[in-house]
Order: sequence, then structure tokens, then C-alpha cells
Amino acid sequence: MIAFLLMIEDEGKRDKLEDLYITYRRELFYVAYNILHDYQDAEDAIQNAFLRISKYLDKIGEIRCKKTRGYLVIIVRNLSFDRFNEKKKAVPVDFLDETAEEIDSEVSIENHVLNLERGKELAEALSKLNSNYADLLTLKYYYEYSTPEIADLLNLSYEVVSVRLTRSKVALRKILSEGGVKYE
Amino acid sequence: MNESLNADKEYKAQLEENFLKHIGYEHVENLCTELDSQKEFWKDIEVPESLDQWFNDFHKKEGKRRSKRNKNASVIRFMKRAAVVILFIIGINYFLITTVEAYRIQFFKAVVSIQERFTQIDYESNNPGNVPDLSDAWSGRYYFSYLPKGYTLTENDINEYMAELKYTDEDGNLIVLQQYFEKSSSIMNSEGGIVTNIIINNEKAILVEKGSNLKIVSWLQYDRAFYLLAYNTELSEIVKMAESIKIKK
Repeated sequence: MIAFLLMIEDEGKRDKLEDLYITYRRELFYVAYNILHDYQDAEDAIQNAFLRISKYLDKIGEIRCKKTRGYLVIIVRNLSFDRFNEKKKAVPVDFLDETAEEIDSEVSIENHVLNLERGKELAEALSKLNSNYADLLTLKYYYEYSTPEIADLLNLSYEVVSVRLTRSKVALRKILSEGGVKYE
Repeated sequence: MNESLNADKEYKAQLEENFLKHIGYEHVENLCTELDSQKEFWKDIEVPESLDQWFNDFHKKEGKRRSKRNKNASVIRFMKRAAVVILFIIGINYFLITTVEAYRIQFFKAVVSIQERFTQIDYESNNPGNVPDLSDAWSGRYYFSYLPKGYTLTENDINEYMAELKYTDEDGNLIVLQQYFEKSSSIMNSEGGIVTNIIINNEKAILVEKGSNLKIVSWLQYDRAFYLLAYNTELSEIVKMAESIKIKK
């Protein structure tokens, strides 16, 4: 089967979905397996991811670029976490319990937006605090997906995505207010 | 003052969105860097064949679904274009009718011609022939509910033994329907004619053909005897007329 797929050398003849799979299947499987440590589960997570991605193919531009690669990795790893939690019957815990209102009154992002050179560090800090927060913010603001679309892609309810997006902004504000990175 | 505050809010919201977009961009950069640093672990990883098999099946199904969707979209696109063309033609037509007199005359002539044709068809199929032309004295007597095209009732006559209707067309061709009541008698002149038996409304009938243009049909039906005489008329038309007789109430 794989021989058949690889036989299609002419990239022009492949369609987008096929091209995505052939280009990224190895690393996506690695990402899923790294979280689930089970071949069958990793396979299921990839299948689930492609079922969902196929609905939003129009939003994917160039295949071989960091943007598309990052997008696929975000989807696969979130669906893998979801499967992992499902198997362990674990409820994902958000790190911050403070309400958005409390933090809002103390810190505002716009005071820090000019610190663009800190973007890399901030993204890393947010990802280390909770990779799910960074992924959601990225899907929302970098890939420009709507909240219902994110919910559909990551197999989450609309309410969960809304709450987590709010909490990710709160987490980012907290990182900014502390003036650095707080590793947990 | 409020407008200024709103503009300020909007500007700050945009600034924040752009900042978050930048964080997203950096997050993707970090992800890719991290994956690249682990390349030695995944570059030769064996992807299960069953996953490839699944993808192949899924891809085929997805292809069919997309192709069906594209076909539907093409049909809808075509219909939309057709609707635009039709609307355009209607528009042009309307414009010409309202502005060009010669076109308007031709258009209404065509409409009237079509209407006349339809009226004519309606007449042949539904109109019970000559009923309006028959007086109340004709009540209880029979008439043709079907007549060949061009014939009109020109004469009717009633006496105590028989009733007669005469129809003619523009060329002077004649059709006669005679009906004789009970206890009357008549003689049919069949001399020099060819006599054959036919069926009218499941009743036996006699057909006499004299020369090349005269046909006479006689049959018994209901409570009386009928004679139908026609010049230059096809036998099929004669049978159709004979079978269409109706009583005037």
C-alpha cells in the first residue's frame, strides 16, 4: 500500500489530503506514539486527526511549510492527549483557577505588546505552563479558526474551548505580569 | 468622546490580537524546532501498514464525496447561469414590447394565435356540438356531440315520426342525422351501393357506400332507428359521430 502511495511521485497529481499524509505521516505518528505509547492508539489518533482535518482542507495553504506542519502537530497531539485522558479516565486540569476578571484588573496585554522580541520566550513559557493553552491561542489567532471550528477539530465542546481560550489569555497575562517565565 | 473611546478600544483589541498572533507564530516555530531536534527518532519510524491502508480507503471515499459535491455545485452553477440568461431574455423581451411597436404587434399576434389554437382544441374535445342551436322542441331527441372540423348545424326538422339534423361545411359538404321513433318505418335505398356490416356502440349497423363520396349508416339504438348520411367524409369520422350521439335534456 505504501508502495502505491510512494509511487505517486508526481506531486501535481496528488491532492492536498494525500500530500499532507505522505509528507507528515512519520512525524505525526511519532508525536501521537510519544504521548500514547501504544501503536493502536496512535493510529486511532492519526485517523481521527485526518477525519477532522479533511473538513478544513481549504484553510491549508502550502503543504511543506512550518505553518502547516505546526498545525498538523497541534491537532494530532491534542487529539492524542484527549485519547490518553479518555483511557485513563482523567479529567484535564487547567493550571489557573483565578477568574479572568481578577487578573484583568491587574495586568493588561497591551502594555506588553511591543515586547515582540520576547514572543519566542513567552510562547515557550506558555507552552511549558500548559501546551494546550498555547495550542488553542495559536489555532485561534495564528491560524484564525473560529471557536466552533476549534471545538470540532479538537473534539471539545464549544464551552470548553471558550473557557480554555480565556484561561490561556489569563495565563499569558500572568507570565507577562511576573516579567518572566514561571516553570511548573 | 464616546467615539474616541471606542476607536481607542478597537485599536487596543487589534494590537492584542496581533500580539497573540505573534505568540502563535512563535509557538509554531518552537514546535517545529523541537520536532527537528528529535528527527533522529522519527525519520525512520515504521508507520503501521494498517494506517496506510486506512488512509487509502478514506482518501478514496473522500475523493468520491468531493467529486459528488463538485458535480452538485456545477449543476447549481449552471442553473444559476441559466436563470440569469432567462431573466435577461425576459428583460429584453419586456423592453422591446414596451418600446418597439412592430415587435409588440408581432408578439401579441403570436399570443393571440396560440390562444386561438388552444381554444380550438378545447372546442373539439369538450363542446357538445350544436346544443345551443337546438330549440327546446328538440328535447328528448339526439344530436352529435362530435362533429368533424368545419361543420355547423344548418337545419333541423321534427315531425311525429322522425327528427332530422343537417350540417354543412364551407365547401357545401353535407352530413344528415335522422332518427325514427318507435312504430315508424323507413326504407333505405341501397341500390347500386356496397352494403357492409359495421358496429356502432356495440350495436350492429349497416353501411352503404354509394359511389366514391356518399356513405349511409343505419343502426338501432336506445328506442329508435338512426340514419347517418355523409358526403366526402371518412368512415372513421362517421363512426366517431355515430358513437357520439347524445340526448338533449
